[in-house]
Amino acid sequence: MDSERRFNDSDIIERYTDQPSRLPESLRRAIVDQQTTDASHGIVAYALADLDERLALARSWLALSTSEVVIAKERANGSHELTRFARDGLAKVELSSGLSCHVLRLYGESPAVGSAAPLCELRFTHRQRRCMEGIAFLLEQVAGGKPLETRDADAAYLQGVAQPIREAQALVSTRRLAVVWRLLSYLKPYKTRVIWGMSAATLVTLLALVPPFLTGHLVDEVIRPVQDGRLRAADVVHVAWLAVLGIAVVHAVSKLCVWLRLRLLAVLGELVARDLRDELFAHLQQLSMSFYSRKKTGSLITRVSSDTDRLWEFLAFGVVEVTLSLVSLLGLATVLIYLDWRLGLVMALPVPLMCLAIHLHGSGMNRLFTRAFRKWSRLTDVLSDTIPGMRVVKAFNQETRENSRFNQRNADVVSEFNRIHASWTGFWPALMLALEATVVCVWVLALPRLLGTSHAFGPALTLGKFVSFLLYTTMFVYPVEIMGQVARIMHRATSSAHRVFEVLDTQPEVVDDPTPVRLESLRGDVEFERVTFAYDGVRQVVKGLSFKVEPGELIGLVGPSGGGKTTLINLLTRFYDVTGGRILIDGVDLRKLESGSYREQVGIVLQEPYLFHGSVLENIRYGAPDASFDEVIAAARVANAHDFISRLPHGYDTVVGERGHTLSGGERQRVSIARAVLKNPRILILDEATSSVDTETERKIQEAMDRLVAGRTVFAIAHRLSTLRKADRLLVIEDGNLVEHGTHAELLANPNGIYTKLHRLQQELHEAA
Amino acid sequence: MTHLTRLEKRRDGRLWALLAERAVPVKLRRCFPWTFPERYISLQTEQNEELAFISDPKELDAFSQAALAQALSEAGFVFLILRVYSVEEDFELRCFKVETPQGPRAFQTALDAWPRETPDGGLLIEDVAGDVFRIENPDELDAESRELVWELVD
Repeated sequence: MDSERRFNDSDIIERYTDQPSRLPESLRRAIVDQQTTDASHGIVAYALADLDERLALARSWLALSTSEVVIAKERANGSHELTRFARDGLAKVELSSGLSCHVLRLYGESPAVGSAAPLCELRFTHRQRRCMEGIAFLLEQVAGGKPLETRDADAAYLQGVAQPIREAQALVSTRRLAVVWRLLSYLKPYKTRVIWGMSAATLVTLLALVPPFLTGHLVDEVIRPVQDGRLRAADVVHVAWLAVLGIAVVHAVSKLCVWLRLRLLAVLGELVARDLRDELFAHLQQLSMSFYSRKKTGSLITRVSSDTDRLWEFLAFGVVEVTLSLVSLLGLATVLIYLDWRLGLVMALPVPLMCLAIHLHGSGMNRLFTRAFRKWSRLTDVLSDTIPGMRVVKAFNQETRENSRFNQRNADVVSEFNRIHASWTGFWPALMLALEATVVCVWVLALPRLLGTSHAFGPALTLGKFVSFLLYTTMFVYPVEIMGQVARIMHRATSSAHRVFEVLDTQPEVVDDPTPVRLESLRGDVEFERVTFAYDGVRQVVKGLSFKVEPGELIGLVGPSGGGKTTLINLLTRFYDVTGGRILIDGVDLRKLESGSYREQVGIVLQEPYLFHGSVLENIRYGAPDASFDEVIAAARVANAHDFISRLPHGYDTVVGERGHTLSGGERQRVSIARAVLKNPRILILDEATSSVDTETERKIQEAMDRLVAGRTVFAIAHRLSTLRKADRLLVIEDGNLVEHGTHAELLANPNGIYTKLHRLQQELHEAA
Repeated sequence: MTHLTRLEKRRDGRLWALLAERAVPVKLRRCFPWTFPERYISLQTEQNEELAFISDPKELDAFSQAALAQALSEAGFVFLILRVYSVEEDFELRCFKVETPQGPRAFQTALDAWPRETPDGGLLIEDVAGDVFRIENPDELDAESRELVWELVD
């Protein structure tokens, strides 16, 4: 990536938005200088409010320093009107959202009855929302009496504004050519193949120039003199046959070279695509979960499949065709001008114009295709709506309506594609007509010279030379067509390359320590020490959580949805790193542990068990590929899965289909428990493992889990509190805090406790049911 | 549903709903922002719970109607596109430069994020950040703007 300069967040803001990429320096100085002390009064965060009270575009900066909140309203002359108030004087922060206008109000006193005017009222669009929400969060922390975390204000602002743009596009590069060079660097390991392939291809192109030349020579030096009686046929017949043999040899060698070129370069494209796919997939395995939460699965699959396929096409054919077309056009122009410069120029000069016409037509076609793709997308929307929802369509008797919707959109698509057909079917004959018009021009200029009636356009022209000329003119069409499409070919390839390189250039956020600690056998001692975490780096979802778990303890995690339970699990499995505090495993900071050996000793059973396309056996063995058949069956028995598996016609060799869709939810869950059992983890995580199954299945799963948890440190999340009665301790997590802990009985002893309320609610629901 | 007696914008900048026995600051949500924007407005608390429902603002007194209209102009604010200066593709983004009543604005959408048609024949374009841009009537744009958005409009 060294040859390629990528846009950073600052470049993105400057390129795509009409706002500054950082707080103006003069304003920064004004904010900091006017404060009472300087060293400890840096700017902690800032954001731009881009609407005023009349909802017109405006610029007001909101800056938060370690002691003050400053609002800088830009005047018409570019200067700023500063309003500032002490951060300690803040009582309430209110953020309200509209369609494209949000309002942040800061109050010095709680506006309980609406009589207190806000200290400030700022309006802004979605573009500024992330930054403003970040500041609102910090101010809420301040208003709540919590200490302010130090952060890089510029980086937070840049990321907040640029992130949506960055996420919407692939890697951003200033130079398309640099991407092509990087792509071509993948050819290096296959240098010999490239040289042979390109040499063969160049030879094909150059050899194609020979037959017309020999034909002209044959006509002028043999046929015409014999027909005119200037030479005897017997004297020159061997020359004639030699020329024919020459043409035959040229064609034969040419076809051999074509074969060589196709064979070498087509395989070359495959090899490079394979290398890219391998590198891409291997890199995907290294990336952190945060990357997967940002990117859509479909988009990543496309990058590994379609994009690498498109790059294969570019490397195998695009590069070659473009290079050869250039060689071919230059060769043709040279030969034609060499044969007869006047006629040569007539043929060669319109070529750039034709390439331009093709390019312009291509741009027009792009617009037509955009329309067609839009219509196509509307058509596929109907399919993706109705096919998965067919039960609903039928239940509501809406087949006719859906048919009509589909037919209408289908007709729209056809109409757009007809427009495309009308465009290219009109353009290409016109282009061919233009090309043939140049041939006619050649005839018009050549005929008087051939007949000797006029020499206004040059000296006499021999028939052979003219025949050669005409044969060369037919060779113009293909390279002209290719050159006209260079931009499109490059655009397609670089778009795909951007998407592939973006993944390859993404660095994993969770990385092993350079000298990691390898714990061969975990005891299962887990301690959270003042752990904080924020997915976006700003809004904490785990807020200074501390607890200790002894080896072999069964810990139940309970609390309202969105409280942070699953985040704790994500931290414990090290899918994410903590942003503050630390997690100790057997006394070692989790970040210091070798993640591979650690995860080998951690098992997880999820609410939605994920099975891979493959047999039941392969799925159970997923974490322990070398497990024996006896061990697999034993694990399945522990998981209460053996009975249903052995009833399947293909037993453990039954292919479960994509995501295990051929099994019921409860069956999938039991296979996933067997998978966890076989792995024999020291730390086991059960994330809502029984929440989506019926009572009987739940009983079986519960039995399996009771066997599974024995002798391990277990963290179990469950909404049905009854499933956690056997827990040694329950941790009640609410709003990122540990609000209660104790045994089931201890927690119920507190009549006003959150756990008691949850328990009571569930009992009432159960009784009502 | 609580009976609403009056709406008023107070000194704190917020819209307050006066109910029979109390006053509560409220947020507005149009139930049908594009199909029937004039009616059916939900008044919600800070916790996003519906407090009152206005099926037709004309049922309110004039003072409340004015307060509601003012609050709606903010809550329902979107950029209206008056003129299109350019639409260009750039690294998997479709970049628009447009004129709005608020001034010129540049915004971007993903290439496959198509404009959405509204029942009144208008178009809604949501940019990558989430801001909404509206073309009220594509046919009434000037010829140059129409040409620029031609592939995005039926």
